[in-house]
Amino acid sequence: MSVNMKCYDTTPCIRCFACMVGCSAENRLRLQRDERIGMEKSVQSKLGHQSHLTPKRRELGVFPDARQVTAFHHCNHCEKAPCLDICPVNAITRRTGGEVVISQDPCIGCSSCVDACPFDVPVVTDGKAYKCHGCYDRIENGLKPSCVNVCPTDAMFSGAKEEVLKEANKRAALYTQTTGKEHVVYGADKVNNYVGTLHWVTIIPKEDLEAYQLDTAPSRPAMQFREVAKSAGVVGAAAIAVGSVGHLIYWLGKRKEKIMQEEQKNV
Amino acid sequence: MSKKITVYSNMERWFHSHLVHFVAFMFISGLPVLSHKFDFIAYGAGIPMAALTGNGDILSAGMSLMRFIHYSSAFLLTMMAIPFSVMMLRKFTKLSMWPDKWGVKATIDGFKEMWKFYINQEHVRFGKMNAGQKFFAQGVVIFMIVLTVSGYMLIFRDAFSVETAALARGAHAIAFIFLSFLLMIHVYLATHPTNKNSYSAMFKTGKMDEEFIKDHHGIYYDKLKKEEKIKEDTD
Amino acid sequence: MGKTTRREFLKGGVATAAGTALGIPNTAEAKTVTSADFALEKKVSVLCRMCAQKCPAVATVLEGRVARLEPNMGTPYGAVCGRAAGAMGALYDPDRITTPLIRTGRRGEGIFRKATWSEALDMVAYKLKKIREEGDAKSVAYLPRFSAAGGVDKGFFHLYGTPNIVGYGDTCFGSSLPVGYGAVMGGTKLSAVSGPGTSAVSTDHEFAKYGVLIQRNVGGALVCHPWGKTFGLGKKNGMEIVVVDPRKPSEAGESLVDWAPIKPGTDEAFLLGLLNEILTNKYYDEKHLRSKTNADMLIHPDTGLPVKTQAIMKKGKELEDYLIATASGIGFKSEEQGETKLLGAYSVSLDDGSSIQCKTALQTMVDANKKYTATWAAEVSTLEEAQIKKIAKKLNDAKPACFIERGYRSERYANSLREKLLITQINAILGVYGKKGGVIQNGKVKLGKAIKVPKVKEPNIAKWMAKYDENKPLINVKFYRRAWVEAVLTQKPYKQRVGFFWGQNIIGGSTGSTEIAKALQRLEMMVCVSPHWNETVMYADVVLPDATFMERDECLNGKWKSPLATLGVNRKAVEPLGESKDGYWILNELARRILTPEEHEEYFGEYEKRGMITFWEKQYAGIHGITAKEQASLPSLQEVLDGRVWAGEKHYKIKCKTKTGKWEIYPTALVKKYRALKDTGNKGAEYINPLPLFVGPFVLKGNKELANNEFLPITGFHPLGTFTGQQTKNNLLLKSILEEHHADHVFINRAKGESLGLKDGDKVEIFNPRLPKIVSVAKVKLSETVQQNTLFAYYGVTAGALDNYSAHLRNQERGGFNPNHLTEFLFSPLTAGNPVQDCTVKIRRIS
Repeated sequence: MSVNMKCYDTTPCIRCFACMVGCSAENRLRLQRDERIGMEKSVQSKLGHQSHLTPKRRELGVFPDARQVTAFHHCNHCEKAPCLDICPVNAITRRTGGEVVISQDPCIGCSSCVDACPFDVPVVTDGKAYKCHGCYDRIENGLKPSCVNVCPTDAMFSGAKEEVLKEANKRAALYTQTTGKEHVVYGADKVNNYVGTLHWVTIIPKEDLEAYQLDTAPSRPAMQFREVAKSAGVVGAAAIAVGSVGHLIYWLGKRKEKIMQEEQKNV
Repeated sequence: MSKKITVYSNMERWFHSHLVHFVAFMFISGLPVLSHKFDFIAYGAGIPMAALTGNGDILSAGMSLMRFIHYSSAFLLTMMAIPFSVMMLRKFTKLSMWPDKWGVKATIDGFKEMWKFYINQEHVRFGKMNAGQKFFAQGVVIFMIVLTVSGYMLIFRDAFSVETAALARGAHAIAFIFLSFLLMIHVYLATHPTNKNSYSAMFKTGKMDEEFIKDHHGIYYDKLKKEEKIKEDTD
Repeated sequence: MGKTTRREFLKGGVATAAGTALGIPNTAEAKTVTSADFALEKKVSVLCRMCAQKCPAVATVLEGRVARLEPNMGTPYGAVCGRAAGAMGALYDPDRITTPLIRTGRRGEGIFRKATWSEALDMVAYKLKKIREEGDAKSVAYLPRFSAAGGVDKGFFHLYGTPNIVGYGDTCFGSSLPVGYGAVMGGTKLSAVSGPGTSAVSTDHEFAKYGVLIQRNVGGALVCHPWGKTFGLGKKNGMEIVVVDPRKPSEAGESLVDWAPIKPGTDEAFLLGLLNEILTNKYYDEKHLRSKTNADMLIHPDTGLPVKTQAIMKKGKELEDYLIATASGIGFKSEEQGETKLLGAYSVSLDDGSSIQCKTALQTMVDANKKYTATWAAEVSTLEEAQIKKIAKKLNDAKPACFIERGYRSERYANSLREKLLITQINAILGVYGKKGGVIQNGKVKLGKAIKVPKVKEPNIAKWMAKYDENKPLINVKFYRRAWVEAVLTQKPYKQRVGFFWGQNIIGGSTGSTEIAKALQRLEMMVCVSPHWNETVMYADVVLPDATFMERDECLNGKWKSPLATLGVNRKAVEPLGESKDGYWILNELARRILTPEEHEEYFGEYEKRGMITFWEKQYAGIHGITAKEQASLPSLQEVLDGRVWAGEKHYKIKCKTKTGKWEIYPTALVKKYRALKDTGNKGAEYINPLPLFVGPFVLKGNKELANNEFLPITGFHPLGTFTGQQTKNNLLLKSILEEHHADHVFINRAKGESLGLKDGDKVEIFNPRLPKIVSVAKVKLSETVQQNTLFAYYGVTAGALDNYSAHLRNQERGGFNPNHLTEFLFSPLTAGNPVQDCTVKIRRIS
């Protein structure tokens, strides 16, 4: 199976939220299929943790040069997924298609992934972590992810990484030409060392990266220091062990020497 | 037989010996969360746990047990630490972990003394604690505080932002790693032959030979005498 | 991957060995779902009715429940919106009405007891039968919305004997839109209007280069198939947009979009200024004006009509030929091939030998429009003059691949008709009709009648009003629900005794709610068929719970707001919830009880024996109105019933039904009507003045300054809200996003709000100074994307001032702002439209 990629294109998006409603509905379908919670029951609560694609709307600018920007908040299925690396129970795995998936069964709700994710994605509810699983079940059965499936305007599309990138780059070039503003495919190139490239990319005017809350330096400094400290820990512990043994040998030798000197003196 | 002087109170010894258990528990149970290199601990615990609880995933069953041990040890340790801390705080300014003499030069001299003792095996006059021990004690206090605060923050993480919680997780790990360094050195030196007297004082009797104190901890001996805790033999 | 490998190793080695021995499965990796899981899903073709647009969709049924709604990609414009994706929230709404109810409290109080179907049906049937026997069938009005028994329900009520099938479109698309459009493009007789409404044309967004979104926001407002979809595709193809709106809608996108924050109620002024720019700068193609429009028509200075006409035959149709001027003199249009004069005045000799100076139609318009410059328009509309000029220029550069959105649910002001007229005129001058990237004719599949009943001879209330009510000569004779209310109140032309509402929420959805509620108190009986609670259901004597679209088979459907003729059908995905029943069952039960046994046998006998197939066969057999090529590609009835949606081809064309066969940018039909009204001294005559002059809404009359706390209220759709909101209120699948957008708040310009001492989240009382006793309570959201004079609220999201029905809905808070609740029971002049925003509101903070 080739590596999959999803793309959100901000230009044709009509902000209808079909993708987001579709996501939370599809996860209810899964609840019915896997957890035996019927749709008629699950629609009676909001189940925020089952909405893996959520809007973050904010207003920018001052009247009349103002606008309301809706950022799409979702898992990026990072190439170097910090959540996957940190999960102590290995409940987060990567599917063959590249989707980073939390399995709720082994998850112990320790929130390590929450702390490691620089995009604030995983949520822990009732002792289990949840986030977008890339609709890996649909993809592995030849279907499109739910958000893509329900998008009315091709603002979301998905497929094999190479094809998606090709289309995304083509669109970005077109928009650069039609709008006169440089458009980029966020996540197509390495974002930074912490996350690498992304499997969910976004076509966006470069000047709007911040407006859409697309982080060009996603990081969790505390977690990165933690990793450094871990490496330092190995080195430090080894150094101390070697030092201790060395000292003990040296000390015993020296002591023997001293005792012998004492004895010689006494003799 | 020379006179025995009490250097560690019963309370201190009791606390220390139990501290060892809890720290060991917390150490072992915390390691698999810190790094996958210690997964074997959780796997080991997980095999019987999975069988008992019916939790299908061994690692996760083991990790749950580890977490239980970590949390309960933390709780008991905190409970235990409260009276100890109160006791220590009451004589806060008189604690041996403070330098006998302040200042950079004094500190350097302190380490020079240690060098003389541990490397050159010369005779030196230490206080109750030498410079290394003082630094160790200060480090332990600081890292323990960081570990406690960040640990409780992580338990009650809902009260904080994700960034703050992540900071706590980072601090917890980093403080742990530094504390580990200190503890490794501490354990080594404590079990070192030259410190046999101190070791048995801490774990067995609480007392040291007056001669030993006079010999090794001259400054401490003087202090004790000054406080009239030791009476000079008149004969 | 190193870690995974180690883990795999450990799992494979120690753990699995131990685990398998102990019978423990390894579940670290998420469950792999196989095609077998998906094979359990049953697919059923439906036509989504989360709003009224019937977007072709596919429902997934899993273990007897609808679990997913996705677009049916059988048409090139297959698309559904977020409302559809959340349809399960409406279907499994825990507060749905699922048993018949009989009122025990006072009307409007909302106290009911449960009843059996036979009890409830008998009660309704007894009354209807009695009235019929008394020969007073016309006193029963049927008010459908997207009824559950489409294709048959209206036939039944005609059969019953009432001409009063009262549509809701007067508050939406039925009043000013057909008159404004028909005046230029024909198709309306300009009295007893039932001309081209919303479904007549579509904008070809996909290929448009530039567009003006005015009165409507395509992205947010409904009609995902195909308008929402083509709009998105247009954006993708580089379509540039300017949004002329007091609030900037996020749904228009954030790139290639300009915002013209217009003062509410001044669209007419903006359009006049735009027309002025276009005429002054000659932003038109002369060849186009000569060939397609009546711009060169010579106009008699006194009558305003073509100075001389003659009848000619063209393609088998009789058309009116008119005089034009050329370099060589005056002649009839049909006889001139050369360049006709578009501008200027020319001497025409009349039959009596005298001669008279006649201007061309275009010159007449230019002269009338002269004073409405961009400068003037900017002043009235609070827009920048440069922006108006820029819009005109951009339209010129893009024409004919451009458009001015013609509005929809835009029945808002007394002068809405003039706005629609100007939009059509400008579009016609720019030549966008029938052009790629412009505005094109919708296709439709005309179906055979499922049930053929005799016509009711008696005229309905609207037809009578069109004739005798001087305020409503242009009333729509199909869509007249508020005029019906007036008839209930005045008992003119005749008494109304029973209101049978099927899905229609007249109180929540039309202007002057309190007066309407009063009228409903006067009825002898009030029946509501609805699965959802709303303001109107509270007044019912009997409530019959019908099924939602996912729970019923329906007649075939051949009409969408799509340029492609499309055929599809809604099939039942799951059994109706509780005791709710599908509409055809309800109708048949009523028919059996009310009609004579012979009538029932004749019209419903076959249905009783064979079910829906009897209707489907008749409809399919009667298919017409598509090209031969399209007809050849039509699927069989069985294929359609199995869920195939068929779509025909896109035709770049526009129907023109004017007398002259030309697009009458100078609307001669209006001239005649205008003069006739003038002659009778009708006060509303100016609203159809055929010249491009400013008339304005009620609220701007006298140019009164707004008080400091006074606003012009406007509403707009939230992409997850619907009309009066029955399906989207109380729906938790939609609620978190609505909440994130503060969709239940009223939005006020930040600087303005702060000057009033308001903060985000403050609660305010909102009232119409003319009806100060009705007070809405809503939370305020201060926003930079709202014009200063504006109070914006999402339509149909909150309960409003008349909110006692929300007590039946666990997820619907009380309060909020619905302008219908606060407005007077007024009509737009002539069209009897719904001037819902033609008022001011004042606010005061609740401390």
